[in-house]
Amino acid sequence: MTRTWTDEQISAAIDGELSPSDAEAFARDVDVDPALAARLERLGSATRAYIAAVSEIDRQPMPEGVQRVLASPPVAKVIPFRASRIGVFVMEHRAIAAAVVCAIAVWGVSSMGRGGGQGGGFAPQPDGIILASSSLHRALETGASGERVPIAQDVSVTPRLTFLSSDAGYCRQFDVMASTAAASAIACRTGGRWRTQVVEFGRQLRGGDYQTASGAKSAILEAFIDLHIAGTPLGAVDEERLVAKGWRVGQ
Amino acid sequence: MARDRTGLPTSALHRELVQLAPQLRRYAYALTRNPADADDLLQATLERVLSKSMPEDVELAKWTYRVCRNIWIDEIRSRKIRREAAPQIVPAPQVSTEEEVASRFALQRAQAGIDKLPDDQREVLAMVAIAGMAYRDAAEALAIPIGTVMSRLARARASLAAYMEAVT
Repeated sequence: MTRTWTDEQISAAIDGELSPSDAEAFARDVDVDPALAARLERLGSATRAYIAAVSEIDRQPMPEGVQRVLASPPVAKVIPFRASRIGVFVMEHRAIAAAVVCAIAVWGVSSMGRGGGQGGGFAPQPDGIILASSSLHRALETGASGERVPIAQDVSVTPRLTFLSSDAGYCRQFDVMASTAAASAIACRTGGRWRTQVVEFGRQLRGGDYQTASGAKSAILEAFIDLHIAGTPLGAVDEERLVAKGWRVGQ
Repeated sequence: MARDRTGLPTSALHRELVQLAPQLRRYAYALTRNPADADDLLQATLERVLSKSMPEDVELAKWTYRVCRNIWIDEIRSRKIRREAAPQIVPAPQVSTEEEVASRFALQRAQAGIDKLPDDQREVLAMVAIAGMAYRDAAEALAIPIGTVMSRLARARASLAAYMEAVT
C-alpha cells in the first residue's frame, strides 16, 4: 500500500527537501507505483528543461564589463609576514596535506567511481594522476568553469575555478556530483597530465542529496589555493583561450 | 591578511565571486529573461557586492543573490526596454543530427513555457533550481511561508510540463 503524494511533495523530493523518513518512504513508493514514478519523471523533466533553457546564456561570452570587474580584485593592503607566521602557516598546511593524502586514498577507491570499462573510469589513480583516457581528464581539459559536464551515468563534473599555480602549471578546482556522493577537488596540469592535489568529500544534505565542499566553502581547498595561486584566477575569456590552445599558453 | 569591506579576505572574496559568476548570471537570466538585461544585472550585482558592506553573519553567496534580486526589483525591472527589442540568445550553431534538432526544439519549447509562468512562480523556481537555495532561504527572501514556496514550485513545474507536452 503506497501513500498519496502531492505535486508539492514530489517537487520537494526533486529538491531534496523531504524529511529523511519521507524521502525513504517516497523512494520505496516510486519503486512500486508506476503512476508516481511517471509523475516524478514528468516534473523532473520539466525541471531539467528549465535549467537547460536558463543555461543557454552560457553560450554567450561574459560581457567585457563583467570581465573587468572580475579581473580587478579589490586591492589588498600588503601586510608583511613575520618569519614565524610563515612557518606556522606552512606547518598547518603540511598537516592539511597529510589529511588530504587520506582523502585521496578514499577518493581512489570511492564507490563514486571507476564508472565503466577501460577508459571510461574517472577516479584518479592512488598517486592522484588522472588518466588521459578518462572522462574526468576530458572534462578538465575542455569544460568551462561553471559548466556541468556529464562524465558517466548520474555523475557529472563541474569545473569551478582555473588558476596558474606558482609551482605546478595550471590548476582547476572542480566538483564531482553523483547521486550517492559528492566531492570537490583541485587538480594541476603538468606534462599534459592532471594530478589531483587535494580532495574534500561533500556532506550529505537533508533529503539524501549531497553538497560539495566548494559550495559550502572548504578551508582545505582555500588553503591550497592561497598557497599556490600566482596572481588571480582566470576569467572566462582567458580560460576559453587556454582550453582552445590545449593548455599550452604560458607553459 | 587584508580584508575587504565584506569582512572576507580580499583574495577569497574575489575567488568566490569568480566562482559564483556563471551561476549568478544564469539566475539573472532566469529573472530577466533577456540576455542583455541579465548581463547588466550581473555587472551591477558584482559591483555592488564589491563596494558595499555585508552583514557578518551572512554567507557571501546568499548575500549576492539577495543583492541581485533587489537590484532586479528596484532598478532593472522598471526599465523593461530591451525585453521587446532583443529577447534572444545569439543563434545556436547550425545543427545537423536529428537528436540535436530535437534538443534545440525542446529548448525553445521550454523557453516559451517559462515565459508563460507567472512572475511569482518563475522567481521561486529561479531561486531553488538555479541559485540552489533551500526552501527556508527562499521563503525568507520572499517573506512568504515555506508552504507557499512549495506550492509555487509544484505549480511552476506542472505548468511547464503541461506546456511542453501540449506543444510536442
